[in-house]
Amino acid sequence: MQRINEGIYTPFFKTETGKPIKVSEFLLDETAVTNLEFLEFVKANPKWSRSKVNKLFADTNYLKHWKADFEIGEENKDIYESPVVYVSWFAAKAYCKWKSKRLPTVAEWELAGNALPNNQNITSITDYLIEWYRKPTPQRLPNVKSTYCNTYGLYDMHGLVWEWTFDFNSYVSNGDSRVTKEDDKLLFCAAAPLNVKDRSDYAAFLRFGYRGSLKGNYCISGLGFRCAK
Amino acid sequence: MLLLVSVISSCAEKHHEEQIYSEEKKSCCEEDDNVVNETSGKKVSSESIFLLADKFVTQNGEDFKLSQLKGRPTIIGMIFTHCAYACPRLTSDIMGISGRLGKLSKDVNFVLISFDIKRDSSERLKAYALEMGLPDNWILLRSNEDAVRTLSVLLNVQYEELEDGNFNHSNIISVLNKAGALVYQIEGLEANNSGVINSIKEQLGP
Repeated sequence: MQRINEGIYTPFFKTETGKPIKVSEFLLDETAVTNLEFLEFVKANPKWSRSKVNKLFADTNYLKHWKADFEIGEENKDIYESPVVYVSWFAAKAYCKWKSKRLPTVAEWELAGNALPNNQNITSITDYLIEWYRKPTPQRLPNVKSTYCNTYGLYDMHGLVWEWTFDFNSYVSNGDSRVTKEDDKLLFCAAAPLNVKDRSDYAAFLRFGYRGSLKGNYCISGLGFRCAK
Repeated sequence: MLLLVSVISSCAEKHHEEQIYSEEKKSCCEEDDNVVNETSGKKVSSESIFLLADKFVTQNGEDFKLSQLKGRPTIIGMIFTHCAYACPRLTSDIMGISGRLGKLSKDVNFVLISFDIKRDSSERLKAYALEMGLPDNWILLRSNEDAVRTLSVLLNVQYEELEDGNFNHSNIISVLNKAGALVYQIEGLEANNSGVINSIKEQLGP
């Protein structure tokens, strides 16, 4: 794991008082959790195997890319070291707990993810991300460490998979404006873009919009996770 | 750009609507759940929320497990006691439902769970219940961060803690059936509660 020093995270959506959030020092896995690593967890905790898991905690796509409950499959050798996907928030949380870790919060993940790539000529994460979004999804998910390493020593914070966070459901907004919300400023209508930290950060819009659309038991092809402590 | 974002944010949901509708019915639950979120029209899981085994504590300082709610329908809201405007209204909305149910209320669990790990102690919850004039049989719960966040995910409630210690959150009133499965939800303050009333009456039977 890599240490991320105490830092200031300015939330993407402006808050009432406009004050940035202080994030205490924490540790973060240097890569996303891989298929092989997740297999160890499932073997040790059979209730998290594909055929046993409760639908409340993982939908029918859970680990659908594996050959069987306790087998990734010889034919899937090329993704052993790729980030595990098709895992729900509950499963990700349970894995981290099994490792005596936890999921990172949105603030922690964003702080860690904002760091620039090491040794590369990329000056803006936003531009790098737009390039990633432009590319079609690869047929086979590449291994961890196949994109870039940032100045915190973290690999693939962007460019490989989306990642679960502990408080992914902290995005209090709804596309349907008929619903009464405590804070209308956060509705995705004309008012919202005026209320964000950086209107040109299109990648962040996508990331926060994506988080807001998730439900805890969703298992999706491009969504994995890493743990924090 | 805004259109694009809303299309993208609905992509994950659309994919899963198909999954949920085509899912085979499990034999776990006693009742045939008509599980619908009134606002979104989306089906929700038919499994029991009581599977969340975490320990909660009541306003009377007693340990509590969600499975203790079994056998009666439950109405749940998530609140925090320090908020200035929305929370007393959500609690009032639930009190309104209780009023409309009349004597049927005694056969229903009324549960409020606090987001505010730091400030809403049992004593504070007890004081809040008195302030709001809540009936004695209402259950106000606190727990640790993980349990509360997990419950919010299970109940489709979005919330975030602000740096001043208050909370931004969606206002949802949920109905669980006697087995603990989520069967109905309404969203928004002062929302029309007829659906909730009907759902409860259905579960209590003739």
